[in-house]
Amino acid sequence: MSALPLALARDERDRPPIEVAPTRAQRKRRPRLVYAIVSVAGIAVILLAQLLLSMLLSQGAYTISSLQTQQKEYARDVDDLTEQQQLHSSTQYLAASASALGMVSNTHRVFLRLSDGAVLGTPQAASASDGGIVDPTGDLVANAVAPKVPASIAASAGQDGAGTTATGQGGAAPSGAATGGSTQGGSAQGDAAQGDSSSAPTGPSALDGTAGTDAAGSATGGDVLPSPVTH
Amino acid sequence: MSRRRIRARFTIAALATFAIVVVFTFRLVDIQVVQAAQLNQQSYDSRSIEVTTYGTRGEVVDENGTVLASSVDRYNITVAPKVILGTHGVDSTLMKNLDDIAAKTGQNVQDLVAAVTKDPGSNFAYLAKGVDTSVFRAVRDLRIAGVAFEYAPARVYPQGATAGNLVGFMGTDGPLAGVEQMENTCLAGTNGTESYERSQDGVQLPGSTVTQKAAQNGGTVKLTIDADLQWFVQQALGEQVQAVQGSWGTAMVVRVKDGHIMAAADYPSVDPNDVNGAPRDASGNLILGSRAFTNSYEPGSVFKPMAMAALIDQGKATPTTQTIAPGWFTTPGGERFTDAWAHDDIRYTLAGVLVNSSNTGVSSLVERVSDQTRYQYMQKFGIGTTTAVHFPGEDKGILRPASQWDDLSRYEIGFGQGVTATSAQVAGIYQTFGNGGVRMPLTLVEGCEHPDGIVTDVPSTQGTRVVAQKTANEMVNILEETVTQGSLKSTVHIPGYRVAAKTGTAQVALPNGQGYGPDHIVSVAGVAPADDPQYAVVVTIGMPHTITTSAAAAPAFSKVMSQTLTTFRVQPSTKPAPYIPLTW
Repeated sequence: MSALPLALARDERDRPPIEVAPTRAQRKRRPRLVYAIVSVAGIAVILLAQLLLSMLLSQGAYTISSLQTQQKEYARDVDDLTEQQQLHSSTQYLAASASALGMVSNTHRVFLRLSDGAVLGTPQAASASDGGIVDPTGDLVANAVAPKVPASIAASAGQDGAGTTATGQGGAAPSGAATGGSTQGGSAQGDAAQGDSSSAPTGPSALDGTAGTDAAGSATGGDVLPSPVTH
Repeated sequence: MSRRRIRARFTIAALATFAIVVVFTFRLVDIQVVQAAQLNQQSYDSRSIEVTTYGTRGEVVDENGTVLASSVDRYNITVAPKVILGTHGVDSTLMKNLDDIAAKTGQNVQDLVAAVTKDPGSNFAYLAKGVDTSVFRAVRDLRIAGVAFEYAPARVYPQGATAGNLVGFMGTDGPLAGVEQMENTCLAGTNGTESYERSQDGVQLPGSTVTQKAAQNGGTVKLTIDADLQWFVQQALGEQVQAVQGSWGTAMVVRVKDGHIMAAADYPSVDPNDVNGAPRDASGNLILGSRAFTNSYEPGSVFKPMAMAALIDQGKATPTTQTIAPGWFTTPGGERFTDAWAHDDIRYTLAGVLVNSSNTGVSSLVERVSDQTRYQYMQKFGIGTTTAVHFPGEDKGILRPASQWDDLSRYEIGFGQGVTATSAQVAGIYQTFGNGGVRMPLTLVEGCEHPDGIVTDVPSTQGTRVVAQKTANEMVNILEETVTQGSLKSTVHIPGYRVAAKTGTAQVALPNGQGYGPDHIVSVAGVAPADDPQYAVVVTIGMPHTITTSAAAAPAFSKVMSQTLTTFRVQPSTKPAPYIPLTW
């Protein structure tokens, strides 16, 4: 029993050192390291992906949050603009604007009977002295929230009134006022400013502008406005 | 160390370990199982935030969809004085901030300082209430620490006083008048609650929103009113009341075929945007409602056609029935009354009695039917009961049963004294004549459309036959003579249209019950076109001074009627007016 170890010891001294030759099974087992690397890398990738995903998700949350804020702001815009539109379409505002433009209501009603084409009533031009319905009584139907009639509307009406006496200069001042006032907003102001500017630069377009805007204005202003005006 | 000792130590250590494990286990179960729900809730509460979602109050719109009342975004600016004052109090930085806020809101900076310093230790105070979106944004963008905002939706009436008498308004705790009050259950929205979890920097966690209760928007109430016509009628009425220096006026336009009220004007009337600035009556009370519905008065001669229609309908008279109108009429009990003008006996036909509005003539005819029959006709015409509108505070007027009619009232009720009615009820009488004798329920609200599209509050369209078609047509023909031959000849003229109308100049009873005073309530009521009535108009003016007869109301009637015919594109009359003899 003790002879074998001694013999082995002797052999070791004589022979060159030997190694344990890996068995086939052992050799097969070696590539496990690759698997370990792959799985560790896999876990790392998964973790990284998860991290990225959660970053994206939270980024999405921020995007949603900011979009919701934006949506809320737009909803406020809509509400605000709807309110402005409703107030500007109030009858009181329209009546006041029409008055400011020098319009009067025609109290002489005339009807056309379609069956025989008869004109019923006596056609008569409206005049401010007729009385009734707003001018000169004033608006008796109060509206505390109706917007103020912009200065440019009153100014463009003033231009028509001044047309009989003023020269080219008369046209220049209101148009300045109109463009100055138009920064406050309002489509009606834009129209007024347009009318003024188209009438100002050149003779021919001035004729077009006045003919288009006001019949009374063109009757008196037609003689005045074509004279050259410089800005 | 003996073996026994070692074993004892081991036992003690084991027991201690076991005890600790037991304690921990117990605690674990306590936390994870017993208190789990409560702790989860606590944790959730600290992460989650609950917000109110607002159900918007519905709009009130007219027949064409013009918005008469709508809800708008408004904000209250609040402040935490404790935060904003800090340890430094009112220093230059704070003053600059408050100056900036005041510049945006248009307030006086001293008011803001007062609001902040009133209770320096508090966490809440108002800086401004009800600012609009642009001001809210401007102040928000100043980014001042300690300043916060509260959503406070408000009510705006874009058309102002146009239909303000009908639409009503909101108080701080709810609706106070008109349609706002009448249709509150339809209009009111219900607020909801929502909660979501948020991260430390306040960002909402995705998918964490929980709706505890969904907000419900209110429904849209559609009125039968035409806002443009309503404005015109209010303006025309106001101009006329001012011209004759009256105290008040009402005007109504009713479509005869279905009883829809196209316009119901009051002067003076409230602008619901400025309730505190509303006009005041003689005793200093704010005028907030609609007199056309809420105040009855002795209507006078506009009641006469109703009494005469009962006679014709019962077959006791025709438009050409001959009678004699005495200068003085003496009742069996010895009461005496006259006409508005002095005259001897006049040989009038029934039509002549109406066209000339003779009190004595009416009195000489009314006895042909019993008091009870006359009472029943008046009831069928809607006198003595509120209209189908059921306007808040609506007056049903005074119509005593026939058994209580005394010697004088049995005659004077025939010409509209000793009985009261609202303008709405008077409009109902003329709607009935215009509609061939069928009274339609007066309608102001066409319906309530809920957000889900369901329409409720649809009014009844069930008419009541009051008099025969023939009676109604004859009455319209008689009333047309008032305009062609009678007192309205010079004041009511609409080229191309035949108009049938009746005037009324009623005396106003003294408040002490001692007869009648010097004041009058004047009215003109009628329908047009007379050959095919489409619209009934009633204009009433209270206590006119410069003209005290119905001529005071006639110009407004004429304007309102012609505007109505124009607005709704009614065809001009094609047939000529029939001739009815007025005297014999």
